[in-house]
Amino acid sequence: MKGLLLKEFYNLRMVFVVYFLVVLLLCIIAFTDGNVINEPNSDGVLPTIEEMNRTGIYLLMPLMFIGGFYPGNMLVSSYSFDEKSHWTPFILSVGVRKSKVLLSKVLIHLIATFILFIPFLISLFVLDASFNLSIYIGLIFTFLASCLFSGSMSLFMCSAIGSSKALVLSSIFSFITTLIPMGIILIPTIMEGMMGNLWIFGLINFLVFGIGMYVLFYFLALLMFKKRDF
Amino acid sequence: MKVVEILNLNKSYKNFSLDNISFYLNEGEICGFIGENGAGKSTTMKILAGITSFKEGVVHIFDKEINKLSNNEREKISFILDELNFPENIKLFQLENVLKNIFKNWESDTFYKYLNNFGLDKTKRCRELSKGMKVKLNLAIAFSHKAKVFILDEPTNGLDPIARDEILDILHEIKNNGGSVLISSHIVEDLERISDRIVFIHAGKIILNSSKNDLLNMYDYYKVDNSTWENLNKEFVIKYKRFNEDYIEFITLADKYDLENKRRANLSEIMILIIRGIQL
Repeated sequence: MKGLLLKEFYNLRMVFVVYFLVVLLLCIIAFTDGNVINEPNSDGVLPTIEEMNRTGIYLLMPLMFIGGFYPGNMLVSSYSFDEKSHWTPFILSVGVRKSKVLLSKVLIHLIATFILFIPFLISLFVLDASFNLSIYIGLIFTFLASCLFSGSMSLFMCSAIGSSKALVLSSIFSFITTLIPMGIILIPTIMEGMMGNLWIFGLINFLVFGIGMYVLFYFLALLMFKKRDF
Repeated sequence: MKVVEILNLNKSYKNFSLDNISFYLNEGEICGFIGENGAGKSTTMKILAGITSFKEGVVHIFDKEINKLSNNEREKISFILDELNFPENIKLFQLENVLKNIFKNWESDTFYKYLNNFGLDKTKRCRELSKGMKVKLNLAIAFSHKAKVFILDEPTNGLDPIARDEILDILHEIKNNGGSVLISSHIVEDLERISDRIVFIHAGKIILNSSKNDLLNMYDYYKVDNSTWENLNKEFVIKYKRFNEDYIEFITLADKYDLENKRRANLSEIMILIIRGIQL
């Protein structure tokens, strides 16, 4: 496994750097906007906490969208590099099992998710100190759900049909994998009386899309990958 | 001793199938695997490498079913594709870092020794290597995990004659050290030079499997003009082919006719006439 992960590191480090810079840029924007929304408006009235929270959520959306795109895209890149260099036939011919190859992809995806999770957490906490805990937890769970959901879809598609076709499909699906969990968490923000229960919606997102779908698509990916000839 | 044995192997795709393939590879032998594009060479080799599945037949390596080989036994097989198997952006010393964590029997000293012998710079990236260097890199890796069986799919394809000659010399050295080589190539002259045995596959079927010396003494090749051809008793002609309307090429089993231009057929002529020739 160490060898497989090292290979991924050498292959993907430039992709990691590019995404890190994009995330860094977004964090800077989020910081700036976070300060701006605490300023009084033209009438000299400070925004209410609900308004600030809502604005905060909208500011975090780009970061959440990246969450629904970047870790999954990292997987597609990894598969793409392997296919281009015929690495998979080589590694399978020396006795490495397909399940181990797939597991290395899962680990890469989890590492990518973790790397993205850190700036997300930082920006979330710095943005508005007046957020209540329910919103924090709801957003964190939803972010993780988006990351894991998109990764599971990419993992399945790359394993089943190869990276070139999966690239197009996963780009389309990344909207879905972002919009579904985000849609679920936006319902209570629209129905303001339910803001206190945001963590429940976040938890549902995490359990259904983060864990449930991830496990389901992992096993489907394994099934398809084992059936594929190289 | 047979290190590789394939018996009645069948594999079907939509437009192509391997039909009852049977052949073997002996220890310390170089076996040339010839056939036109799409004949089934690569599929057979991928099955041997354990990366393509099959439903019917038996594939034994080291007297064991291929699916039951341990990781140690697997490491004794080196499968070399006609293209590079390694990430393009990776440097050779980084590749060594990766591979030493994958192979149990990896020897770093051996790897660097062969890099040196083959004139490969460890700071070069894989994409910077020429085709010949890539084949050498594959071989250096195979030597470093102590491979005994080498399955090479078109390793000399696209190489200039000097690079081809270097690769053939290395394969000869492998044989002399007790290794076994199954090699496919379009360049039948290369196989004619180094092979001990030739397996000829056509449209998914093995049509010839013989020692090289027997094969090269098995057929006669003739190139005759139209009038000689018209007057010939064609009972022994196996396959013939018209050449520019002026000449007719044909092969027969050895010493069937006593014509002026008679000579033993080489591998290339046997292959072309058997595949493209017309049967009477």
